[in-house]
Amino acid sequence: MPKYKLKSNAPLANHKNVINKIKISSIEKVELFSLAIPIDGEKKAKTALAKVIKCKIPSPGNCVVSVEQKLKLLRLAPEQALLYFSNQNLPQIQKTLQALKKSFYITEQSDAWSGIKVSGQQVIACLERICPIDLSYDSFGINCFARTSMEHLNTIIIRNKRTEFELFSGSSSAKSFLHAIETSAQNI
Amino acid sequence: MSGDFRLKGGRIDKNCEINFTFNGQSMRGYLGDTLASALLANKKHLVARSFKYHRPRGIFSAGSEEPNALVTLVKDNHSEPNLRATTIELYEGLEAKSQNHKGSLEFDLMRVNDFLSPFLSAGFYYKTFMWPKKFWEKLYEPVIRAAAGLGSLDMKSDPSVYDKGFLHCDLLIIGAGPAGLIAASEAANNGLKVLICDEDFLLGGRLNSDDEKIEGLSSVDWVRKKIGELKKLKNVRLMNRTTVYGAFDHGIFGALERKTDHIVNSHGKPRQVLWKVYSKRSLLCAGASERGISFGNNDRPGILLSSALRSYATRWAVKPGEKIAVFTNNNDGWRTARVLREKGCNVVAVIDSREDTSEQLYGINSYKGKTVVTTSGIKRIKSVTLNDGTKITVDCLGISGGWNPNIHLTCHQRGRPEWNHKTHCFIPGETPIGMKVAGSANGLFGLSEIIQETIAKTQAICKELNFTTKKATQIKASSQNLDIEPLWHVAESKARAWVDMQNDVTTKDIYQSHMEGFRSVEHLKRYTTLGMATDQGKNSNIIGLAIMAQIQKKPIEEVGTTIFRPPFTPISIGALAGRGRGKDFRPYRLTPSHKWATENGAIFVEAGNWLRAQWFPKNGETFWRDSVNREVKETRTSVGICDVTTLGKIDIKGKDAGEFLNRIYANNFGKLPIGKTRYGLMLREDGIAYDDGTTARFSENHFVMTTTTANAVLVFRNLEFYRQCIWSDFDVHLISTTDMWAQFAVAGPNSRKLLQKIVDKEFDISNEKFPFMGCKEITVCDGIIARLFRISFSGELAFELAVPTRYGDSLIRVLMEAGKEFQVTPYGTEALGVMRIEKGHAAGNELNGQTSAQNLGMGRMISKKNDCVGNIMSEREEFDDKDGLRLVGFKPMTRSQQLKAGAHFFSKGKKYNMDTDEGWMTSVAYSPILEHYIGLGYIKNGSNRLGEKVMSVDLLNNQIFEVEIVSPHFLDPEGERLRA
Repeated sequence: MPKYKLKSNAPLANHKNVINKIKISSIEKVELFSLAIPIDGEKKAKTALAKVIKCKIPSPGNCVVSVEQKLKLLRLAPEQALLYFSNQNLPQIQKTLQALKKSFYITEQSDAWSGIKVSGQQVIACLERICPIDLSYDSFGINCFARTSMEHLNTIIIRNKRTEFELFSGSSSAKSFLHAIETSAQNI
Repeated sequence: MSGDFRLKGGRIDKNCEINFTFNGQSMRGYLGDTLASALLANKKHLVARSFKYHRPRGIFSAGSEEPNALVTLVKDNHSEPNLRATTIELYEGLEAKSQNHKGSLEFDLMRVNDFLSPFLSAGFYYKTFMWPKKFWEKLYEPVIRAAAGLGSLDMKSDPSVYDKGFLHCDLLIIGAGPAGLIAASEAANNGLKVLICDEDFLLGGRLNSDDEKIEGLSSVDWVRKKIGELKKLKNVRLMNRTTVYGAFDHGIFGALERKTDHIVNSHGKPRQVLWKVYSKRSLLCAGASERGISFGNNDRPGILLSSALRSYATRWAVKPGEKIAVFTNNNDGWRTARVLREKGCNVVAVIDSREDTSEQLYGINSYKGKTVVTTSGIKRIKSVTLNDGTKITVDCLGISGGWNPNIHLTCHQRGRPEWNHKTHCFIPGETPIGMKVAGSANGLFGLSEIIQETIAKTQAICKELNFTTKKATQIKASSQNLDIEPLWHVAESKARAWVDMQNDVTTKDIYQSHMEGFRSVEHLKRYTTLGMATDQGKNSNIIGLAIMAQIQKKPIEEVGTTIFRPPFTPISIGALAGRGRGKDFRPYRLTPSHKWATENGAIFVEAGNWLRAQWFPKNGETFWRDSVNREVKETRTSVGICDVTTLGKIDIKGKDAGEFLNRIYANNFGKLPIGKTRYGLMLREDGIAYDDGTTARFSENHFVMTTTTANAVLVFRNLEFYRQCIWSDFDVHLISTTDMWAQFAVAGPNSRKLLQKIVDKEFDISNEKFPFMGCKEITVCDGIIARLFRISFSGELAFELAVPTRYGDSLIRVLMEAGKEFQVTPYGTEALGVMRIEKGHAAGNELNGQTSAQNLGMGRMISKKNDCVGNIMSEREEFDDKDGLRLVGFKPMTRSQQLKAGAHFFSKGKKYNMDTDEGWMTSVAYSPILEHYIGLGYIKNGSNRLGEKVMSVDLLNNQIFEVEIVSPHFLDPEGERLRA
């Protein structure tokens, strides 16, 4: 046995709170990878995604979800996507990444982001205090995502359900971001 | 008592009595009252003193245009001045105080100003108090300020909670009067997402005060019905207590919602929320405000706008007086008299300046073709005198001079109002893009016309937004013709006649302004202060302009008007700040070792948004430098650890990554071998040094760049600009990995030994296998992936070890545990700074946006073979001046002398001025190794002047002493330590 072992400790590990019936919890077991499409590599990228994760590459600003593969693919920019694994086992993730490696420049981003799930009937009333995006159901439906800024922090927001959102922000500022969300819930 | 001056009915809850105080006097009102209505119901007409002359003043209006009744509210042991009693919703325990008086409100000693008024006309202080000059700031101005003004701040921090937010809609409707409610209903029925805001706590606008008929219902019942319908619609958001205060670009509006101002205890909820509203279209239905008429002594308590009398009687069931007269130039004054009489009030006279009006009310004396020339009474009006000498005893006078559409928001993007000759008011000219105006705000005053216009405009908006429109609703309503004959100023009045009551501007001031050449409306405003302060001239501007037009014998439209800017009504600074106060002013970024550092007593410093450990005091260390000196010594003699996660980290990937870096950095990177790291200097386009750092090559197409902490975001943005806009054909991709990796500098002669305890055995980090400037992807602690860099900022044998952030907290604990045998020490940014100065490394102080590579002594680094950002401009003649500034070291001639950053250098014997200035000290530190202060700085031709003594001059601290120019490398100039 090696003498020294490192323990994993995410900034918001296992955080759970309910404020004004709004559930606020850290998102666990998420692995994120940036997929950059090489120049003139869109066709190859499409083929790889179709073959490996059985998804079409979404257009910029859109997202595809594979429940079967426990992943989401968020097209952040014309040449960049974020591959999001949720509750997926690591060997399977490695296998997927290995298969995509020839078609994308892949950079792990799991620890760069910290995720917070916010849900409840009043979730819009809470998020409208910090989120400049129109979150009404007609404009921002299930599986819609957006990159925006909340309380000066770069944020990715994803709608899971009518009254449930996932928000990802920089891990170094995760506690400030959590404070911003909880203050919003408190201020309703 | 609340009941003494109450009438039947009203939109107040008489079952819910509310206790409040005014100037300490206990009073009672009802739920639904404003402070103004409750004061009137308690027969309190004198509520304020005027700005300059300290004249007794009463409530003048019933809305946000109120010029007189400004009070200070005390809540939660905090005073807020200059609030309009007419918009303050009454709540249990409300504590209000009058303001701007010396002595009591009833006996204000400063009333003496009124008697000195002949000497205090507009601009008097510009012309007097000219001598002696020095008396102005010390005597005259303080005395004038103390004698005049509004309320005072209590100088305590505002204890209230504020918040901000964002709203989105297809159609923003501003104002929930008849036009607003009909528009909301129409738009919502056509499928638009509607947001309707009104500053009042009771939606309905004038319909709550007027006796209109709509769809066969009384106006009040119709409002109730309509609001009930709108509340059921999911695509409508009704926001009362919400003032839309500004119209900005791209359909964005600012709105202030008063959330808990009307509640006794907010229970920590925000008092107000400042909303940023994004709208596709907007419809301004803000109604109109009645204006007064300027005549002698028209400012006495008991003189109110005619429509306000109607509101107080109808909405708040307040009897405004025992003997009421109305002075009007239009039909609306008659309407007031009729409503008041119906409510049971004693209306003794209607004075109408129009001779040929057909209006008549049985049993009320009417004086047609007559005007009021003056009034009597001090603390309340006692009588009015007409131009034919008739004197009428009254205790309340309503004035109606016509209506001003509330067009403010149409002007926020420089729209100029237009004069309407029919209704004698300014109506909207060019409106902000996407805005339409309907109802009284557009100069319509008959309800039937308002409804028709509103429906038509709403339908047009629906079509513009590509919504299928249903057949327009048919709504029948009563209508009224205003039939106004303009009267701005009663010329026969000999007594002072007020135009702007908030600023004590009289007709005489307008004449004076004209006589002295201040004839443009902008000059008039600034010379007389007409239209300034909290009401922004809502009552007074048009009267002032009309009088100026009369003086100049020009039509009003030729004289023009000033335009409005945000906010429509005052907004507290707290609301603008929102929740961003104190520690919540901005977010913090925490390093992965923050928790451990806190546990170990670290003192933190803000570096950008980061909180970084500055030093780690130990028992017995009472002065910060004790800790820093120890950290430096222990690092240099054994091993120290510093969290350097904050440095910007950018992963650069792609076939053209090497060429991209060649062009970004001044020095060559294309040929950097895999597994090697290189120091790089970036220039700006103008050749000035921009940022520096190291970049490591992990594979053919994968580089990892580090930037300074301060410039991490800027450099990333800059790289993206070049990638996307300049070299868009490059196959190169950037991604910030600053937060992905927890990175620690492990420095000192024992650093390798320490790391060897945690680096997995298959990785050889000996000097032979992993020499200086090496980089490697490794694993630590049994398989955790890591990046290891053999780089040194301290000048010692050093490494930087990065692991995924989730392991950062654990890694610092492991390193400290493993390092016990070497007496490992954590060190903070101060020790880091000392060691980099000892080594002569440039940092932010040296790369300050004014200095070039040549100044830094790195001129030869700039590649002559490759083009790079800033290359050409860096070859400017001045940059290559051999006598130019060079970065060198400085040490004091007396070892105990403390160097000062910012001191300037002069040759000995020269005068200390700009002409003889030779450079400046950029960074200083006490070196615990050398046991004296050392400094880095720029001096002309510095590298050729080593050993020369110059004067270090700090005139701010009056410290002038001799220093010696030395090499910037105070320690290990040959670099033996870092290559060990």
